[in-house]
Amino acid sequence: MMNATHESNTQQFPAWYDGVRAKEVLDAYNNGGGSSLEADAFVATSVLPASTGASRDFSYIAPELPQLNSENCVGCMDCVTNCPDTAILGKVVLPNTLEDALAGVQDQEYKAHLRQQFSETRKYYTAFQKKHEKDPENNPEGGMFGIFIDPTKCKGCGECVAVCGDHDALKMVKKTPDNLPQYLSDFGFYRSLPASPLTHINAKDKRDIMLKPAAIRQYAGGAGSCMGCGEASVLRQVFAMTHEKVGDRYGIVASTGCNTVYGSTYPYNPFAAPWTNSLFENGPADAMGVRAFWDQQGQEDWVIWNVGGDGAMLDIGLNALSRLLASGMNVKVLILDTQVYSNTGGQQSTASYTAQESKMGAHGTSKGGKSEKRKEIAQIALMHPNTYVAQTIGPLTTHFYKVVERALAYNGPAVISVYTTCQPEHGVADDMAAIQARNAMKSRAFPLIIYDPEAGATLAQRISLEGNPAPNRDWVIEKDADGNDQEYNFLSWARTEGRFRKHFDKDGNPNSQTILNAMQDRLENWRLIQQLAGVTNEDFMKSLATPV
Amino acid sequence: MTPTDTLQFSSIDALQDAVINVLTAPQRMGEQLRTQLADHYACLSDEQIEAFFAKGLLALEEYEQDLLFSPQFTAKAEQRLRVASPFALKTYSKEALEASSLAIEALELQVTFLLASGREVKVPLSAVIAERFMKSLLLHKPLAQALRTFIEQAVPLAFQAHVALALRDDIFQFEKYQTLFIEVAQRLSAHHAWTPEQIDFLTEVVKTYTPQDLKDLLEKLERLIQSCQEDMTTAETRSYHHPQILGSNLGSAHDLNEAQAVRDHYNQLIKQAEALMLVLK
Repeated sequence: MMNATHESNTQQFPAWYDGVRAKEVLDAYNNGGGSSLEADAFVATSVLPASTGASRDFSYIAPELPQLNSENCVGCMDCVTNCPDTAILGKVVLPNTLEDALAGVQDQEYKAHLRQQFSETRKYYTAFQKKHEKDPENNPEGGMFGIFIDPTKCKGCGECVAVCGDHDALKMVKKTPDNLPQYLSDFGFYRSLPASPLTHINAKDKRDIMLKPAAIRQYAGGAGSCMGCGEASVLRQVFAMTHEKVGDRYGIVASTGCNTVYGSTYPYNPFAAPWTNSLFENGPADAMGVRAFWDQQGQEDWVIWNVGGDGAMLDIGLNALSRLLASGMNVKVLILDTQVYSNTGGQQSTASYTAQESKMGAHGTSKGGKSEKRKEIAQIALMHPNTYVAQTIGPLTTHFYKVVERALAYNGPAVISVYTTCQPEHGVADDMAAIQARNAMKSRAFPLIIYDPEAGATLAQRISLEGNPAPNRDWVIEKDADGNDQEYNFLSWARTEGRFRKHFDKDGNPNSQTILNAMQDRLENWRLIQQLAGVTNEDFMKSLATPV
Repeated sequence: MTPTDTLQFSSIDALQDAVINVLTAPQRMGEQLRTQLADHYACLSDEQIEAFFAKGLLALEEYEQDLLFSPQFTAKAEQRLRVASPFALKTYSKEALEASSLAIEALELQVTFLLASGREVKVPLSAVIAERFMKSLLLHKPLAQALRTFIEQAVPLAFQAHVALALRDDIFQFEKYQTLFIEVAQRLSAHHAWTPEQIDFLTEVVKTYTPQDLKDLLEKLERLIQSCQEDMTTAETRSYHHPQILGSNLGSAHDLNEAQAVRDHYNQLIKQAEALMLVLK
């Protein structure tokens, strides 16, 4: 009979730091005694040991927690993939292994509750079991699939419930002192189980990467990001895929921004890989230095990621980024584009949309938000020699993982710019990171682009607009419930975000020229991209043919 | 047909017919199905969806069909109540539902989707689709005999189906929760306080907070109220709070209404808890 194979579930301290002292520091902070720590050499270095975010306890934050209805779960892994805090995790367990683990649970009621956290999904159970019954020698048996919440990491954003959607397998329930202990016990049970069998991790479905303990560990949670942060789930996915491709052979240079603040709140470090923080303006230069050193050391196969926001990459550090791309060095750049300086309080950046309200882009009687047009980093980057460029969104997992895999495989500079929802600055609810990113893409505010220098000889061959709905039209046209055509355009999306609210009346109608300018800007940008990609826009052609 | 007649109507054939009626009625393609088609199968236009349903669907394994179609064919609460009520006191084995799903597939029926462009596209009504819908009715989850007897004898006729469906959670297989439910239900009857919302609230409280007896239930309801009040206070001082404080940071009249709706949600929880406590004290 074929046995399922497992990946090691063991975590080990890296050898290079003082693990004993690190634990003392963590314990002190976890108990509120960080300020009274002795200022010894270890503390003075401010070194954040890898993955210490895992020990941070946020269980006092979430007002509500997700509750699983396993009957409805299909094992799609969308909840696990889109969680910004590594707070909801999936596991496949072989039936006998599960029963062995449950045998140690004395309380029959609790045992039944734990069993109820698992279901026989078609993906992990039926599909395997059918093959197993036909040929047990060559096929492992079906696995039970369970979803578990880590209440020390969950901030209660509800993103998992939003992406679960009509599956109706998750809902938020009020957290009280009466149900929190059970969440902790349940997660303890999850951790006591062996890792999901590698045999059951679906190679066709990239979301299954998050079943691997090593992939999950690349971003351990415990970061100080806002509830539902759109950046954090993107970081989780990028580094999970990076580890999938190169193992531990990668490092991160972070340019100042939100990601460096929530990613390095001493002594909590969510990252497993070596990580360093540079300034707004010189992350790419720092990354080039690391690259040069690694190459000199014979570590050409190591991957270096430079992570930064739109403030760092489009504004303050654009020169350094341009220098990096022109160098041809094998550095991967991840831009977390929130279209605003989220970290410093919401100042306008050159990625901010026209009409977007922000600090230094205030909306008043004489000025209606930002009047400049948005800078497009994808177009700028792809005009650098031999640079792979992609513009994508996290919740579109197939597109997202595809471009990350390609960027990793590409032997040269690669830029991946990702739309990341920033709840407080965009003025959207905490569970809307995925929904708003999808709608930004659909509205042409943030089109999907892939530019692969090795995909052909012409621009049209190299640029792909795959993934954008209605790629040969100006806007997306849909039928409403009454069968009438409805255009989904920039305004359709903008009216759902607080940052544009002053440009709409109470009925949602646009009431300023600035927001109409913003829409025109997005249309012109989209048409430009279409032209670069060699896509004929039916609507544009019609408008050219129509006499003025 | 009286409600009593309805509850005795329990043949799997009748359930099968009811399910077929729902699944073969033309329906709008849901946003989640559209999104999955776009994300995983590059179907961005209605033409691409039509082509995929005509050819690509055949190449999908059953689990892939399940991942794709399950959001569309999971019974919504209202749908479950409407379709499952006539069978609410009956339990069907998983095997019976699976056999019924295969029987539905053998009929070679079709599901009709209305696409965004207004076109119709059809897919075979497969066992995967039928089984997903049937199992989401939860009629395979056993209804404990003690609860069934109580429902038939003591629950007002108009609420019997609703109660029978609400008690399908595994936790009600345990005697102490059956006893607790019956004790609370008897007090609801004495106070003429039966409402579907109250039943749903009670079963959710039992499932989520596992009160051991009436005294424990009262204490846990008090802590639930306290927790809601604390979070509402916190929400007042924060520009954004959690998913249900939807839009509280936006400021327009429309958005303020949404924020108010969220506060209403907590107030409703408190109101339901207080109403239940009133009956119990």
